[in-house]
Amino acid sequence: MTLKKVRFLFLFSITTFLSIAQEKYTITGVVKDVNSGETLIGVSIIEKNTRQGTVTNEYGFYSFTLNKGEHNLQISYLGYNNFNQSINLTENTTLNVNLQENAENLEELVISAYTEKVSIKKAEMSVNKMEVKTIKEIPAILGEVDVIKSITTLPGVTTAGEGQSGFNVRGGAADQNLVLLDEATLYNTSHLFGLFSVVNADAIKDLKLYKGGTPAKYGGRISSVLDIRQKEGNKYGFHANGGIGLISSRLTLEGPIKKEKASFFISGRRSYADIFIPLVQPDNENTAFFYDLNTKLNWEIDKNNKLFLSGYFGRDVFSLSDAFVNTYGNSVANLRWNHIFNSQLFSNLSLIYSNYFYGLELDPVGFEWNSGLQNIDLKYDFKKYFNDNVAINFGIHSTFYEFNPGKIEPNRNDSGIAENQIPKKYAIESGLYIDVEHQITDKIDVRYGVRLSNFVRLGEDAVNTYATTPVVYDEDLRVYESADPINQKDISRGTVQKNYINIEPRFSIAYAVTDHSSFKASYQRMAQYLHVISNTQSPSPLDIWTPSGRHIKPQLSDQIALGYNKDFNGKYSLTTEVFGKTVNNRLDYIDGADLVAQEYIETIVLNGEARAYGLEFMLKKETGKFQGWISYTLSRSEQRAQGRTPVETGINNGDWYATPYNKTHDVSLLLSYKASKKWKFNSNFSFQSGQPITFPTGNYQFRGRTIPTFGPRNTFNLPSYHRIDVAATYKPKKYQNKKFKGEWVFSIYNLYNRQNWSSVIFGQDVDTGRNTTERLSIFGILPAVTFNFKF
Amino acid sequence: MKNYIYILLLFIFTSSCTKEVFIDEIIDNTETRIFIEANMDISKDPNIASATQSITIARTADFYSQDYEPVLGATVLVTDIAGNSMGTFFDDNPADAEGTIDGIYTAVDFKTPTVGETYFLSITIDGQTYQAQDTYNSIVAIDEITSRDASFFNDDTIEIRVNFENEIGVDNFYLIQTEEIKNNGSKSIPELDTFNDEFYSEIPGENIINIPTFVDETSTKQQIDFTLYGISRKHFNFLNKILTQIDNGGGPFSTAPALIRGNIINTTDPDNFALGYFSINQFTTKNFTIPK
Repeated sequence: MTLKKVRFLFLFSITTFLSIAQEKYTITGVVKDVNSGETLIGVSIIEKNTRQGTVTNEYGFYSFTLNKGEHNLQISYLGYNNFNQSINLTENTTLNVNLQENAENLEELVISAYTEKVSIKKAEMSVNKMEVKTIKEIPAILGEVDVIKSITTLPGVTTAGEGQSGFNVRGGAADQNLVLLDEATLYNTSHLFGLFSVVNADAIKDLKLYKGGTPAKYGGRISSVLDIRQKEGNKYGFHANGGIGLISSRLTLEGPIKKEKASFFISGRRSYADIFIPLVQPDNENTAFFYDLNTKLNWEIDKNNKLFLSGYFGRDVFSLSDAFVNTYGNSVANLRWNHIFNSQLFSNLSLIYSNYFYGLELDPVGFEWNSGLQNIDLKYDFKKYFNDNVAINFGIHSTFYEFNPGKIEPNRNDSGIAENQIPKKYAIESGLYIDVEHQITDKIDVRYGVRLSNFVRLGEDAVNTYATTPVVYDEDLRVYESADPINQKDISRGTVQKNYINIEPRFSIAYAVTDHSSFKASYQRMAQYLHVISNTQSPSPLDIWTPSGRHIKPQLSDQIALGYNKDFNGKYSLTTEVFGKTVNNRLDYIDGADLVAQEYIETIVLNGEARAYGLEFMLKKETGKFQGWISYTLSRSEQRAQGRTPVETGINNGDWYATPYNKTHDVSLLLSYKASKKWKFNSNFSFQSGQPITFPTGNYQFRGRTIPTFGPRNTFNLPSYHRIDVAATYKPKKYQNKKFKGEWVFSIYNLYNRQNWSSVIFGQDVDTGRNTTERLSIFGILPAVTFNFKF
Repeated sequence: MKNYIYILLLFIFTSSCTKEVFIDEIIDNTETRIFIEANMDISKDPNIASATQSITIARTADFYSQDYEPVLGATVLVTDIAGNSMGTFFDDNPADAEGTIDGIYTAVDFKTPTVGETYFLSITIDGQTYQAQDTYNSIVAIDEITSRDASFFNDDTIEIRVNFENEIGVDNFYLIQTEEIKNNGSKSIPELDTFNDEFYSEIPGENIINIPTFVDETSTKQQIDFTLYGISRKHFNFLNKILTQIDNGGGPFSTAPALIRGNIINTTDPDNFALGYFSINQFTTKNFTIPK
């Protein structure tokens, strides 16, 4: 989209506002849970006569402008009882609503009044929302509820491999997902090298995944945005809840500091396999554990001002007799100020600090290695509600990054290791956006906006200069080799080393065929300035985030999606979408590149491109005793890197090849059945095409070793992946009506003990050196039991 | 250091389940190429003769097999920069009374190369010429080999350290070969490891490199031969790539493996290139007996 067109859109919207001249008033308010005082996100507010509607924002706030006169409002939220209110609008009005959860009497629930869904008519598409209640019911590995893994049951989302926390959205790489915890970026999303995700389910309220049609408010990653919101803490009374599982125990405390005005929330989790190992093997000095802590404080200063302070701290610790010590994790702090200027202007100011640390001590070699990255964000977001048809989001976001690629230090006196700091890198990423939600007619809703993003790579020490390019091509051998820097120079930190500006238009439209069905379409352009060139299919703690700069260009992605949504009597909902996207400047590593602890990433990568397209389908039943969904995705994800000159071959001969996360078919079927007040059953079936793999073509001998040779990249596939998991939740009667509530969760992961192929290990026989192939399966059948309590 | 990170990562997956399988698709997609193993290894110790050097020429086998069809009737030449022959290579080994023709071309008159000089290999097979070159690099002597208890892997592990002084003022690239000598005198399949001096001190007195090796002491009395080679930078890059692939082939943290080309070019038909490497290196060997 050209600038001219964008300008046209703005003019168009402004003229629309001017044409409004009727007598109108605004209803504003906050929707909360009646028992906990937690604000509710995405609640529908519908005027029943005109069928106009709005939804609450991330802070539970809504603003709804209507004509003067009588109105019937219906406020509805899934899992809660509907709330109806008649109002005679003669002035601007505040209407705060407290909704009552209906989960406890689900079996008596009759769909009497048909609940209309605002989402059908909204231009928002390619978005999936999951509540923590749903996430907790999905049977999990060893009963450890996994927030990030739960989204892989959604269409268009796949896992890289079993037991790996990373996820791939619409054929995108795992580093192309923006994972936000209360608006702060999480760089590493997994514990225990990918077995569990870093987010404790007890601490979160809900999550929203944007796979496309991403609002202009978000930027910085090209594949998806996973927006996770933490709980605020009960405003009315003190509560504790927790759980004892096989992997970890959890404890959450929450309560008011000042009733209805201020509350706190603190939730901790720690794995404890390491605590029990010494009991069994007293002289075992090895340890591996993780812990995390989520906290939130909120203070409602007055009707128009709220402060939130949220924090997260998580660490993984591995230690082999103190000889190998490995620690890594995220820490995040975020201070936010919600301010309502008036009934039609909502604002939020955030100051965010985010840090990722990776440390390794290897005594036998005699060194200690620390690396990581930290950033400070300042973000100011506004939402202006003009009338019942138009709302404008706008704001500014700026982030300062400091990357520490690594510092090596000797850890003992007799170590020959010299202290060395690989020069730190610095950058500033900024975004300015405007995003218009505009209901043009009763049937047509559009959302359009633009994000202007800018990335400034600042000066740093020891900047490499290469004779030609960081990767050179050997014409005789027809291979790419890393170039040696010919020179290093220091560039002062205040200097702009490289500057990138991108205009990212976003557009989506919904056309409501009826009140219960709609067609949608969207286009988005996204830019990504930070890259992880991972050798693995899933994020690993060793991944080094590399900023764009002189040698590495920002990734740019364009995506279009078309969709159809239908709602059947409020019982079933169907979503189908097709998408296609292209990615420019996707880096690909040269053959034989060693990526682990690679300090000059530019010397092992070439600029390539990627593309993905697919079909998604999701049928969901959200009410009644029997609930669940089936999702199916048919897709293709490919990449290539062609030669830079006609002489060069490019990577993989410059041909398109399947990305490691290309999964042709992906099916998830989740079912839950509430049998009685005591028992609830859940099951999960998952099927995926096997992961692409590169197979060997032969072998030869060199220096007494057997050296395999390999064919083109990712030409073959592992056998298909599938499994069924089941869980049963039992609430003993004695706990049901008491203050102390408890439940047992029994689960079996991989019920039919399928030995799924996680990968093939190409090994060698120790005695003969003959090549072997081994199937690596991570999880067979895994039963587990967890006890959860609440008081 | 990268290798140690791999060890750590693999530790995480030791609890996972592996099972040996045989994949027919791999056999079905076999591609055969000529490979040339031409490592001219010259002892640092002048008392050890280095006049006998061998070059193996054969064809690659399918992934699971070790039957390499020898390439016979090749002409093999190793020359210095002036074009002088460094030795005469025959498939019919003059030192071997039986005189087997097996694709192993041997010279018994190989001359001592000069450190820093470049040497050239030229091989002609069925009218096609293969060429390669490498620079001769020196090696420092191993100072001492020490050992200590290292029970963090398991109770019976000991750590053996090969200690030597890194040469100051130059970028050094090393290959270390570890061979266990069994009771019957036979040697195990060698462990190979490459490293450079990037992270090591250049200050005299502090320029010590120690390379750890972990062995199981419960095995019967063992001896280990450590051989340290000084290699060229390109040779280092090649070994690094192939060793990374053998040590981490297909594991969850490995890069997609690839066909790694060495330094041998087919000047007649570039598409029909040969695998393997031509190198010329100085080495030093030290034997260590594992204490009981």
